[in-house]
Amino acid sequence: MLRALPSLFLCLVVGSGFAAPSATPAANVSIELPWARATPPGVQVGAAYAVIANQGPATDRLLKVTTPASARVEIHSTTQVAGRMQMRPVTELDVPAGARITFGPGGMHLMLVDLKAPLRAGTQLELTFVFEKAGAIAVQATVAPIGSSLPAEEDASHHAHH
Amino acid sequence: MRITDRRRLWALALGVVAFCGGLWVAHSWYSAQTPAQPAFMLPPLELRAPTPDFSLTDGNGHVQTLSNFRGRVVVMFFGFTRCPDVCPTELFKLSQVMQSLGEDAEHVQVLFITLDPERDTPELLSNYTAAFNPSFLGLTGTRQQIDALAKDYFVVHARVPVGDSYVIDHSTFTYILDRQGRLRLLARMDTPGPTLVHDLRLLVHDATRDSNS
Repeated sequence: MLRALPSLFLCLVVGSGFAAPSATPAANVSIELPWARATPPGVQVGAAYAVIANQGPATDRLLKVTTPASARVEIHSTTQVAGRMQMRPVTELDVPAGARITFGPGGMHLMLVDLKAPLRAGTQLELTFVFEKAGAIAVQATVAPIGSSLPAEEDASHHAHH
Repeated sequence: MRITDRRRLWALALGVVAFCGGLWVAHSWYSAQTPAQPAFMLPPLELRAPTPDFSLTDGNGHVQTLSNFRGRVVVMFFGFTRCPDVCPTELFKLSQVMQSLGEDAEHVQVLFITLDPERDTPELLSNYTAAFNPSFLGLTGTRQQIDALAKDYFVVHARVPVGDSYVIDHSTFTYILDRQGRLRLLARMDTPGPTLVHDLRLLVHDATRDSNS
């Protein structure tokens, strides 16, 4: 029954037509402002971002992320060391209690590897975050124009909610 | 104080004065030789010699040399298409810079040079750059050509295995050459767009650099 809640919520969210954080009442982790960037034709990789918030009392661990849009999703951290960019995969990401981990350009990102089709601006992308304790959380990420630095939906009226 | 000590002291003092004088003369002469830089926001480089020419292949399979772009301000960025975060961010910023430049953009050429010639085919590169701005050119070449060019521009790059694939660590500077093909400015990745617009405009309109080199 609890497992059906994410899907039900998802239907409501998709029906209302905006990318919203989705979290079941039972889970302690929520995904906020999920978004992705459009990709040029022929390019096999894309990037997606979100904020992972752990409101629970215990550390949770992000085990993996999946999407129907690509063969796999890798979690990457980007660091700049003396002007040199290094991108490294992170196999499991600990989310401490009370923490908010923000994925964003130039920092952590989800790398969608082997895209089945180019990501198009204005469309929605389904991402499922699988946590050790909170389980699978599926969200719809809005695809922003290529190279954007802000989620497409972000404006004065948009607010993060739990 | 003994006489020899005093003489030595005077000799030393004279030496210092002569040295300082010499420095001053050299500085004056040097300043006279090199005209002042325009008021760039980015720190200007003092290089005067044109950068080495290169010969690479564009998205249509045509050979492009740096000298082809003489007369335009050249903006070069090194990356690869399987870089989903940093490279699109920079190219998008450059596309916005081109928009802000308006008419001046006609005198600016953005080049995206791949550090991954094994995977980035000319066709892929041309699709990639076209997604940001139709005037952007993606360039590739043989591994030797790319390595040589990266070395000329002090681009640090290294292939790092990840699983059964690889990523490429690379420096993320944007290189800005003036209309005579000389490297003038180095912009870090976090340089705001307006700063680039400001300095590119100066280079487009820079009449203090004549073309006698």
